[in-house]
Amino acid sequence: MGKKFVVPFGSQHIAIPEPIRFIFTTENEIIKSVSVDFGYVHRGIEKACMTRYKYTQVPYVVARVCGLCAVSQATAYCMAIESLMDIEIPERAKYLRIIVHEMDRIHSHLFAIAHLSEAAGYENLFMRVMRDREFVMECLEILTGNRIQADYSTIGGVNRDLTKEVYEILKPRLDELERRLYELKEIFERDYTLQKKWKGIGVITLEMAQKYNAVGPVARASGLATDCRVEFEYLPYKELDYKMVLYQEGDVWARNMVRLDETLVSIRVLKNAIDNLPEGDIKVKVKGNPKGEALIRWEAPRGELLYYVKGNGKSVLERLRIKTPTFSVIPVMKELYYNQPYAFVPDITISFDPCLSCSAR
Amino acid sequence: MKNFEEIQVSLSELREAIKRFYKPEEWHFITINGTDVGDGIEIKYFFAAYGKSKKVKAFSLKIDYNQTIPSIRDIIPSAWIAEEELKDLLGVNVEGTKGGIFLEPDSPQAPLRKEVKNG
Amino acid sequence: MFKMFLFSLKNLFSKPATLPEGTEKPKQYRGLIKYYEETCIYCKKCEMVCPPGAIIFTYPEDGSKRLIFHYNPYLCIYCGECVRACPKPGTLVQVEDTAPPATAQDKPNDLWFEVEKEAVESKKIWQEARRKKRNK
Ligand code: SF4
Ligand code: SF4
Repeated sequence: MGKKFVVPFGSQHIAIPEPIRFIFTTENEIIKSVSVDFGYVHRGIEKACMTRYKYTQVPYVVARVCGLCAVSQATAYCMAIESLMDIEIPERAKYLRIIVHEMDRIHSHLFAIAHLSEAAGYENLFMRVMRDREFVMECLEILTGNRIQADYSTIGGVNRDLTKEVYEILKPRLDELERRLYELKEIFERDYTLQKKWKGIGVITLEMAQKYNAVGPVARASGLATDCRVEFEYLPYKELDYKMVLYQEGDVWARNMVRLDETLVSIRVLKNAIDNLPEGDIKVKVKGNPKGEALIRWEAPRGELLYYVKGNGKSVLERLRIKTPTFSVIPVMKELYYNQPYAFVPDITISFDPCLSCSAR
Repeated sequence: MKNFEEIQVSLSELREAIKRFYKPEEWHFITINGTDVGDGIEIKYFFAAYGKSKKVKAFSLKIDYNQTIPSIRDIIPSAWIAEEELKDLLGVNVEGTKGGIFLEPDSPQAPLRKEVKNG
Repeated sequence: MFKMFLFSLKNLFSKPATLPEGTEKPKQYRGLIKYYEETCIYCKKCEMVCPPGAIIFTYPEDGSKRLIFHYNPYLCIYCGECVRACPKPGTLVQVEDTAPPATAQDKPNDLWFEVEKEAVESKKIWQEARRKKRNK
């Protein structure tokens, strides 16, 4: 029996630039108990959307919930309102939403991958992945007019069209991006140090993923087939040759590989979408105020995002509920720490790609 | 248009209903949502079926502001986080919650209640 | 691993991947809003749709219809909603520049709070003036 030590992790920690605090009680380096506290940055966005902003303004407000998945938040909200008000958006708008959303996913995943390699001490790889990520950001910038806050979706469609000139610029860039992503995959698959560092660490079994209701890449790395893009057919993902990525191992390595493979799937979907873009309008006019309730489950880069909206015929919503993906993986994350050496904590934490500020909203 | 199935339950049969219904391999527990409807709080437990499109079920109940609801974290272990949120943001008494995870002590309490005006 | 080593070696001699300062923004980058009063019909639609409230109209004292446009570049999120809402195309135009960082001397907040206050107060005076005009 060793002596018990209490080790705080966060609320500011070099490995993770997000405000979350774990308090670990360790015994001989092995973690015996965990307590978690977050929500340091509660911004009251839900309250603001329910009191201050009209429902047509809310897409721009919720986009500020999270920087990395701003597109997902706004699009999910728009789709929730659209299914509440029975609005059918044009086919072209659906495709454009997929395009922007998948670009968003690629840059978010690349960020996660880079971050994880940095936590493993592989600065060189970090730089390389971030450099390739810059490539996607530029594509996003050309298409939407901004790097992060795309403000692309609006209720009834999208705000900007993909013109011929933009297509001419994007097309070769996507090919180049695909080449780079394959290169990255090769590096990650072959690298000896990373395999040593990540394989068999922080294993989430399928039962555990089900028991704690994991979502997104975390669940898919454990063999749990949950992906809102397949389960909910709001956007035409099926036509674009979308396939779910599944790994069985459930360790840090598998979570990283799921993300890497998903970027490859995304780029295929992207290229298909950009080539087969249907002609037509990008927006329909929306009239009236929302009344009733609806929800949408939407696959953000980190997993399932839930938007629940309830309107009562006024221009301001009665309830807007945002359940972000990280909110759902915290229980499994907490559970996973038990009986792990403290040295694995940064790797495990970052392999979840946590986004705490958006959980606290 | 409502795009999920709703089952009304009463406070006393809530735990029983969820226990009978919930199977971890079949259903994905999404979250608990609370809404202040003016004369009480409406609480919904959302579940989604794995691998089936558009199938979401909600158990819904309405309580008074000061009523206590039972915890379901022994049936669904990941529910603690949603229950803590219910306690912090809406001031609902849930058995076994300690509060203070989502808000800090000096912030407005139960901010999602209707009577709390934002400044 | 060997490949990555080569890659690092190559990096020592290659150009930086970051763009140099002063690189031109891509076409149609979303930036500040420019206002051309000539075509404006003062319908206030832009004020109504703006999510952060970066556009405010204040009222002239004499009760005339020519409202005064105020725009806060530091509050604007460059969403472009106002441009889309405007019934007179060309009145509001989105340009590619972004706002320079504000310094303490600029007092961006204090000045804007005054405008917000003025919008409420001047409306009362304006309505009063209009009533007088009508009664004349
Ligand atoms: S671009 Fe958006 S934030 Fe800026 S003034 Fe127009 S509506 Fe307001
Ligand atoms: S929407 Fe256009 S026309 Fe109307 S007040 Fe604003 S700038 Fe003028």
